[in-house]
Amino acid sequence: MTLLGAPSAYVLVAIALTAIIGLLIRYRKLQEALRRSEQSLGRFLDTLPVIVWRATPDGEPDYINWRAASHGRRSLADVVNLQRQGKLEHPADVDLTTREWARARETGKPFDVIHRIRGVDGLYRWYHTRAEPLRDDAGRIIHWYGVDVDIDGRKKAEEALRKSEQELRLFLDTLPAMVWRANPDGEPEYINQRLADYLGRPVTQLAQHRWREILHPDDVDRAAEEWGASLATELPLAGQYRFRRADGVYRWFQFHAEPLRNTDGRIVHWYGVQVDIDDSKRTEEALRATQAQLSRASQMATVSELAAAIAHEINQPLAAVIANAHAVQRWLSAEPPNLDRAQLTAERIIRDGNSAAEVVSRIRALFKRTELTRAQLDLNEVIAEVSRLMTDEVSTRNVRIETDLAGDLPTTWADRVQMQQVIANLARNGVEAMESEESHPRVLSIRSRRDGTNSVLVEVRDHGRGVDDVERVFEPFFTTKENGLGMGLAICRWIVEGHQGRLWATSSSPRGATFSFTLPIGARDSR
Amino acid sequence: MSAKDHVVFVVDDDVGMREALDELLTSAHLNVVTFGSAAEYIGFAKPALPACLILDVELPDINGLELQRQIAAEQHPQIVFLTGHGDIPSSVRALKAGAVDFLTKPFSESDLLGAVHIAIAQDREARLQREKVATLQQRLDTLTPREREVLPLVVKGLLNKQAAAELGISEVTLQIHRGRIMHKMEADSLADLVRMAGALGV
Repeated sequence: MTLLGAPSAYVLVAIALTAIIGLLIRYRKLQEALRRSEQSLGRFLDTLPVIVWRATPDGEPDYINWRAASHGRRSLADVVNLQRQGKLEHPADVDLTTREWARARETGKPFDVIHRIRGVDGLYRWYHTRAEPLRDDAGRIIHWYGVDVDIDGRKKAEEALRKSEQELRLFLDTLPAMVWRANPDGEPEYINQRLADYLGRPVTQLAQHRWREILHPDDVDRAAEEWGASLATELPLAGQYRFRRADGVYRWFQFHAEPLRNTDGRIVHWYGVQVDIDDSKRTEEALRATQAQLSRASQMATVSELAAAIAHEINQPLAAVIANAHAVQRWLSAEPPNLDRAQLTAERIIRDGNSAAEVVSRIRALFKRTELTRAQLDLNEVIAEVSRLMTDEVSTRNVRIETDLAGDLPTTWADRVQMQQVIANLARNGVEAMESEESHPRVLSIRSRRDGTNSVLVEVRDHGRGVDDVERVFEPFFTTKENGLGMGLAICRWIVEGHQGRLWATSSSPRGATFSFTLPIGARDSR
Repeated sequence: MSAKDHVVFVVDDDVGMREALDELLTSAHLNVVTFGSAAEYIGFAKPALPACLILDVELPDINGLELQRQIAAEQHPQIVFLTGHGDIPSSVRALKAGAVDFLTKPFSESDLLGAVHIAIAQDREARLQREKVATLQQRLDTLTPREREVLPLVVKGLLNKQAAAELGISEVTLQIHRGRIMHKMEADSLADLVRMAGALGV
């Protein structure tokens, strides 16, 4: 039994040993597996593109992943150190982070802040840091696990965008104009501060056709029609309307709207600008009224000056005639009569009488419809005559006349003298217009052409200062010349129209004026 | 009027008018000198004769009224203005400044000749007056300083006694001065002396 018993004890021991060794091996294997798993977790954490960390319940960091360590080339101890010295975070963010971290630890609620952390290069970068607590079965916090995600790029882009938005808004609000945007249907979507201040209402109070409320009652229909037409045709709009100011006063605005299209050509928005032109509009109106008054007054003044000039012209010889006549009477009634002196004085009476009559006939010639002798007339001949007659006058003024005459110009049925008068008058005006100016070239061009099938055209072009008002120059007594009567062009037009023609003026580019007239081609019966 | 006792100056820029005026005035036995401008007239050495100036208001170089203003300080002949259009303000100004007449062209013969004769007569009177004053001035210049002191007191109407007291001299001495003054001034009476003193502005 004993013997029998002894070996069985060895067996038992052996079995037990085997079992223990087996257990040891398994434990070893388990340990190995655990180590491998821990290693793989560590590698995994180190590879994550974020900073991962762990902290004790009282907030002491006890782990950071390799990225944090390598990124900043800091050890855990460095990080802890820097944080204690307050050198890890941006000074402006320290308070927030400290407060939030304390609050999180106190309440056990997640920690979530956006803050700047300094790298080894000394530069701060933006991070989004979040941490959550890990609890045991009893609900006690064992550790805090956290991640810091680098959001610096995004944050900077956001900031740049915000800054440019701010700048744009500031720009739009300080622009000395009122700016707005509307959707493709014309509903206002945005108005700048200046426009909102002017109207005394935000853009929301303009929707659903409420923009009609801000327009002057007399302008509403016109504006609606023009704006409607623009929306329908998709064409830009420019107009002048009166807008109601917050205090109820209406002021004139120059209004512009332009569509913005996408790549398909569809309208995305309408953009508009409106500028207050009320003051200039008022000034303009006042100016126009003053000008009208002035022109009436100056016309009156010219008429009275003309009358005075005529009276003086006639009065002078008339007074001489009367004085001489008295003298004659005296010479004749003297004892003895002085016949020689009487004769001489009588001759003077005739001379002065004639000179008074001449003044009268000169004035009559200006106004009176003289007997016309119309015939087939070649206007080229008349132009040539006039430029020949004016040669001296023109050369003393250092001007040249150039003619460009159509070879096949049809004849007209006209009065030669009157046509000479018209062309000479236009030519003389042109020459005088170039006189005081630094005109270049000092050339007066006279051109003749056939104009369509039944008329001829003559153009007289100068390089003088041009005409301001192409219609007013034809008004009687309108003159820019110091000694002008202001009758020349009025008479020219009267003559041309008397020939069933037309006379008009245009301003030439870059300088100068062109006076053109047409006369019908042809014979007596065409009149 | 005789040939040498007066002269009529005509200033008018219009030749016809100048000739006609010359003719008319000559036919009325007046001596005439004509000028085409104010400058010509001013530059002319005028004879010491009673004169009349016929002046056109609208002169090329200077307005007739302006010429009147310029020569006002000097001894100048009486002026008759001629104008093409007689506006009231100008004529009032001219007449206030001493013009004899302001005639509008064409003027009547009688108006012109009447005005010219009045002007010459006034100028003659003025010249006589000026001569008289000049003579009196010469006499006044012969008085001694003491006599110059006595004269104003006498013409003021003070009694000899009062005048003597004022000057601190005896009545007899004063009477001697007074006698000498009457003699030197060629005054017939005290009234005569008072008139003379008035003309001299003593």
